[in-house]
Amino acid sequence: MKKFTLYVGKMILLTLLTAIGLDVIYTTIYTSSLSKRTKVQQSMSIKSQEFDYILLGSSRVIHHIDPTVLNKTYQIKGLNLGYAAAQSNELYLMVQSLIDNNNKIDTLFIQIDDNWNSELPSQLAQVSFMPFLRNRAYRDNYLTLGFPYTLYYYLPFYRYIMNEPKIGFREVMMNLFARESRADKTLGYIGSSPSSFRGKQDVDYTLVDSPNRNFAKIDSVCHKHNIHVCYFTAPYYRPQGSNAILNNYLGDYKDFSTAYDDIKLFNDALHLNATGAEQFTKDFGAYYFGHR
Amino acid sequence: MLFNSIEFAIYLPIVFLLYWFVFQRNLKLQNLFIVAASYLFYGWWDWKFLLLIALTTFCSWISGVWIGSLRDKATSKSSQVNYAKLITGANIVLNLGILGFFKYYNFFVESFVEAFSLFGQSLEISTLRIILPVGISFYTFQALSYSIDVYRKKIEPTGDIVSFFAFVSFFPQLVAGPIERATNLLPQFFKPRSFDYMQAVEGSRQILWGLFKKVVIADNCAVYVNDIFGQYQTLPGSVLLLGAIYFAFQIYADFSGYSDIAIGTAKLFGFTLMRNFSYPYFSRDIAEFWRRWHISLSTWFRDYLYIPLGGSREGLYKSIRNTLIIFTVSGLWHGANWTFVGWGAYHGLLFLPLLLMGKNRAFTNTVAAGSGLPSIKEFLQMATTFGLVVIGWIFFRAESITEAFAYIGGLLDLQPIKAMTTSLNNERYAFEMLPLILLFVLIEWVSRQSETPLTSGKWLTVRSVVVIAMILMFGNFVDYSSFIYFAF
Repeated sequence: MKKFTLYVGKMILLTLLTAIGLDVIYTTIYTSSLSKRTKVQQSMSIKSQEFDYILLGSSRVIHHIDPTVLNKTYQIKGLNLGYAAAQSNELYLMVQSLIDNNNKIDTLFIQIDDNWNSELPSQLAQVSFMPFLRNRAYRDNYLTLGFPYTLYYYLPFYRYIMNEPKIGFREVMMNLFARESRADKTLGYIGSSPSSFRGKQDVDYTLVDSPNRNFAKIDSVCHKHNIHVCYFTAPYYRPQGSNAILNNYLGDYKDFSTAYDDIKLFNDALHLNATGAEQFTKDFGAYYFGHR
Repeated sequence: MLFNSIEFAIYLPIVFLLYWFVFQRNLKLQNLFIVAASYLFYGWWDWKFLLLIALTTFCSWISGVWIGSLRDKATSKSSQVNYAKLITGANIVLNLGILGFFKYYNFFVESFVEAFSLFGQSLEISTLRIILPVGISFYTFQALSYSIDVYRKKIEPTGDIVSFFAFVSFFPQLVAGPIERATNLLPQFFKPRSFDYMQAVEGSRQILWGLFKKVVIADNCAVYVNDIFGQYQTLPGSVLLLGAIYFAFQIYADFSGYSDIAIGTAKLFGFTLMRNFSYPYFSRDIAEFWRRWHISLSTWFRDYLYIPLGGSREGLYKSIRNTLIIFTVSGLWHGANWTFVGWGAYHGLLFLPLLLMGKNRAFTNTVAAGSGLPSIKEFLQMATTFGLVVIGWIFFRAESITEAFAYIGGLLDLQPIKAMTTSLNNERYAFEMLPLILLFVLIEWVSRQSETPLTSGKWLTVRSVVVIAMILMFGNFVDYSSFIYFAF
């Protein structure tokens, strides 16, 4: 029995060492990958650069604003760092990451909608941060949230196992072979081809009338680094909710939610198609940069 | 409680430690502990069905006790036989009746109503909301094997009710087999078990291999299989072929993985269970496939149904009849759906020519034994057998006979391979599963003369570490599913 106990101990130790080894390999591949497949990787790789603007938000930024058009029209330099399902927690982490990397940004455009209601990490979007959990800002943020992040941090390779579909073997191989993502050539914008409208033909939501801790942190850290923050709500198709309370909490806020009523500009109630995005990019640019 | 769950990972070490350190000195207490641990294991799923397994177990035990007491009394041999037949028959009817009610009541009612509707008649018979107790098909057959073996005098009836309860409810094989014979497993409860280091290490490695098959092969294939079978109407033939092949490996890895974990776990406690799978996809014909696939079930049907019906020794007509009965019933055992019956009948039709030509035992050795590669003939035999088995699996997986035929029809819609990757709206491995499956096949090929790739040979620790690494890298712990055979 003693011999078997030693055998079991040996196997547990070998399992732990294997997990540590795999963790090191995976994390190294992610951090040193030449292709920045996720917006999180992109935000971490941008160092000591100067931007006139950066766009942050969810899929309602990725699919809505084309920075190549803005940059060309107004002779400015900017990026679309929106990514799907990002909530306020992820947006704050990206802002912190950009600032920690000594980037100079004139203006941050942050898309706000019902992400105002949540201060917790997005179950989908947080996965992109997991390979970089040892980054100081990310670590400090997630460890305060407790389980399961403490397990992700302290148990080697555990975060890769539990998020395998998004950051597992396949994605590691994509990073290893520097496979570009779709948005690499368009500065982060991904246009959606027009197709028949899907789903409900309106959007119903209610915003909580209380401050959001993460957006408050964004304001604070941007103020410290002389970054102007402009909040906006991208267009919906026939929104039933009201964004009025955001004026009470956000300094510079513009509501574009009811800008368009033409169904041909939308793929669904939340997202413009490429035609709609083209129009919105034009209107967005005219509003914010038209004075140039 | 699933084998690949945190609960089992906590449960097993506790049971192991208590078994060897607290209860080892007293055999009766140790067996009682196995009963308690097994009932806890089973009750974790639904405690209400503990009464059912207890009833099945008690009825089988008491039938043996009665038969034994009859033999002890000075009654005539013919009345002994008659009473023994009556008792055994009653036990069989009772247990199969319970199994039939829980598993087949709604199926037969629905089929009856549908058959009547073909004649333009409608019947007002309603189905019941019946929950199928996990493992009922397995433990019922296991308990019945004891009754029948006692009747046939292959085993002495036991008065040791604790050992018998432990035999029927033994948790490693309780819910999905192997279906143990009383002649093999029951005597192991009568003898004191002493801890055997090599057996325990072998058991650990077998558990590891079973876990690999389940979480790496089976659960990853399942993601694609569900996607493909769920939208087969819109997919090209090449993708449907992929789906069928993935399912072949899903069900093999799932079921044999469970069996490996069960057998390996039993070894940790000093028990030897029968082998349930012997590399069935390396079979050279269907007869060999059935000697290598779900061995405990196929031998159960052979010994308790096929041979009593006369086997193949009572003329051509009975040989054909008995073969088709065996395979059809075997199909029905798997589930209450005509697809399982169709699957069984399909295999029966494939087996029949071999039986009638006297070629059903043509291949009893290991393919390409002593040689690294199969001959071209052997390769073609294995490929053909595998292809026939894959077609059968389509029936097994489909929701209905119509869907199965539609799926097979869809296989003929051949489009370029490129259609494969674009058709599957799945962020996971797509065709990248194929190299993993090929690697798995290669590992099994190289190990085909051992019980598992981690059972014997050189560099076992290194191999174990490689398997651990693969479990960590490729294991599906996110959308893990219960074992397929839990549904039977």
